[in-house]
Amino acid sequence: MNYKDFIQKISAQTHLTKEETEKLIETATNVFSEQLTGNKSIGIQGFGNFELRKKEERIIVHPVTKKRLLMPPKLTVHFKSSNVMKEKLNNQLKNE
Amino acid sequence: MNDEKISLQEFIDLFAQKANLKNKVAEDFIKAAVSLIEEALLKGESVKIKNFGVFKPQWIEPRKSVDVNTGNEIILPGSYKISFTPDETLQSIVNEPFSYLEAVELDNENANKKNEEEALEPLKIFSEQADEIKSIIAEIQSMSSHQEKEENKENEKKQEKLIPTEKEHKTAEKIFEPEKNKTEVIENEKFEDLEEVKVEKLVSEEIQQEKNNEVFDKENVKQKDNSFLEELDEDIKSEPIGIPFHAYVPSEEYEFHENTEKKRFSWIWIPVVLILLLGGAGALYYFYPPVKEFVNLKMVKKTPALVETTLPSPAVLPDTIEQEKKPEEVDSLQILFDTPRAYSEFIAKERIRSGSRLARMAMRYYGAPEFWVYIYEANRDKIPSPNDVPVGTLIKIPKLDARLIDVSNPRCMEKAKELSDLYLSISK
Repeated sequence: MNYKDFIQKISAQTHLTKEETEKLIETATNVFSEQLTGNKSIGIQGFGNFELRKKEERIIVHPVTKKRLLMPPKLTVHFKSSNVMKEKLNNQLKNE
Repeated sequence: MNDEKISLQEFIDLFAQKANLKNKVAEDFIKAAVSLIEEALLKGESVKIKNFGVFKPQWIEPRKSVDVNTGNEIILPGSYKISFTPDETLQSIVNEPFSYLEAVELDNENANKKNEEEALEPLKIFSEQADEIKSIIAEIQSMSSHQEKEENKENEKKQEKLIPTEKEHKTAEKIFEPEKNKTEVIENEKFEDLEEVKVEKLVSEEIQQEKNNEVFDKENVKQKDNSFLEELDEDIKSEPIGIPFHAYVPSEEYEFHENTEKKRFSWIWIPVVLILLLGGAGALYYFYPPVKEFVNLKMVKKTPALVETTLPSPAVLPDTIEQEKKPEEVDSLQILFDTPRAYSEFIAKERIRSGSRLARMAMRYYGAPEFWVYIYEANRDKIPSPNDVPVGTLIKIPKLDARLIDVSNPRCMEKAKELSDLYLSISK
């Protein structure tokens, strides 16, 4: 499902126009990233947790040039699905 | 690493505030979005949200593991999980604190390290050889002084007797026989000293030849040395045999003579080894640039150090003496100024931000803005022009000689200004 479908479906459910829905989603993602940069994790019950994690610096070898590079540490968003969601997913998909 | 965890409800409140929505509407909206994502995932579809990321159900293959309690191997069944890949936009927002970091290429540093190791290897050999040579020289010196006395005695006796007769009466003079051989050795040594010079010449010639090829095989030279020395040995061997010597020596005494000859050979080996080692060391010094650099470095380092020790520390001495000593201090400063500064030790690293100034860093680290030139010198490879330092470059603050950045000394300030004028004029 791509972004267009996603917006369309939400707008159908919430009886909002697509433009409004898009704006709201944008605001939502902004708030989301704001909270994450503030070093706060966001838990959505029955779905999962979003949190900020630090990936340590590491050495990689460029596959083409064979040069060794030291990658700097970075912060990324990590998502861990809740057990409820995982179970649901496994039941659903394994049965198929 | 999380300080706080906020629930969906808190998130909805914040969202409602931001979007100017009633809480109820916001809640419905977010919940609809989440359930929609959930639904799609349960169908096995991936969901992409612009500027946020992609949710995707992912199949994890069954894999082997070990039961921690029993130690038995178990197979973990395959399962689905939800993978979330943050969008680049979100990623860059979140990674703001580390955004200035860039991947660093490592090969250069490794190559440097390797070079250092390579440079140390011949140095090791060099120092080992030096030790050997020292001990051998000490041995020879202690022995030769002893020999010289005996040589004198022997010479007196030689004058009394003719050599053939001496040899006829050999049985009576067995005691002197080894001594005589020793004198021969000394003669041989002298001979070899001359030869040594020749060998060194040979070696240097060879080096020049090899330099043209830019390939230097150290063993080659050593082999050549060896072959040369073998010839030498043969000469030495044939010398005593060439003297009508056997004729006078009865067969019983011949054994004795052989023994002494063996002894003599152990003597011959000492100068042989000496020449080899000297040749090797010389070759190393002339050919291996790291060795030469190291030796030169040592020499350079030693000279300022010596000056330093002769200098009185200004804090200890009263002003009157300081004035007397001033010319000397000036000289040492001149040496300091003239020697090219090698920056090997660093006290800090600084990243250039917009508004950063080298002068300000100099003020902070060295106490005067004028000394920015030394920071610039240490980071010349990264800074194209002192007026234009690219934002984001990581520069190193070098450790400087305290005398070089003496704020109270006008000469230091003058020198810094001179340098800054120079660099600024170059950059223009």
